[in-house]
Amino acid sequence: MSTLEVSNINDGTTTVATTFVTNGSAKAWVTHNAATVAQDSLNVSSLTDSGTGKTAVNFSNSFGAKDYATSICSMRSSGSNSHYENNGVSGSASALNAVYISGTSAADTNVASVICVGELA
Amino acid sequence: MTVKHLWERLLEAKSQLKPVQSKYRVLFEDPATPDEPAKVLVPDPNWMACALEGGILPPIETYQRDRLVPDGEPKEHPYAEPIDAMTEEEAIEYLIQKDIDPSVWRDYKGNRTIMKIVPVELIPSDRSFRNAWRIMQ
Repeated sequence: MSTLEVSNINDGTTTVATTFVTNGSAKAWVTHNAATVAQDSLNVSSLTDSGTGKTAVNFSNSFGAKDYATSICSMRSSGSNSHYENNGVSGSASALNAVYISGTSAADTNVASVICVGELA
Repeated sequence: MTVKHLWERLLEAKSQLKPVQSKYRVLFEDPATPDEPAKVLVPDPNWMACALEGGILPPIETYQRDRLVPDGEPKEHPYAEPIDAMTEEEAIEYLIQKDIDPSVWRDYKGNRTIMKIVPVELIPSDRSFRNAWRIMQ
């Protein structure tokens, strides 16, 4: 495999540091199904099914601190209807606890995705 | 020779290795929260591929030492020399030590069985009473 070493990237008008791109990429992400089985992922060692609507995402490479940014999206299917949920999140630098909420209580989701952006350890 | 950062090794592995679905799950109960249902640890297929391949994951001891390192302080595991390939069973034991609190697998002294490694087939597919799941004694 060859390595391209560049400090800056230019699109013809704007120049940005390569770190601008790498620091902005998702450092961990996962899509999982109702059985909490990962469909695809990056930097995830395991998922923990903690109960109805509750999933913990354990990272292979921890974040530097617990203040990384997270985006969670989940979808439940009910007959022919699908709708997006409200979600809650808490966790640490090495794991994230996602709660998938339908109405006012945690509920299992058919498909969920979690994306984390931040500085790695 | 400089060791590549763990995240770089994971990126490379993802582009080269085929995901491996584990045939095991780890059932466990948290002794600190006895009213909560049993939890199920599901290995990530990309991670399992890395464990079986070798040369990617750091020694488990680095994660254990990093548990004691405060947020924001440098961690050891991303820069540690990777370990050799594991069997699937060894990988599950590694994962238990990495992703389950030591209060479950190391410190618990009670009589209840609070952790079991089980085949996937033993996990119920009906989740109607998910919050009532307990480990059978």
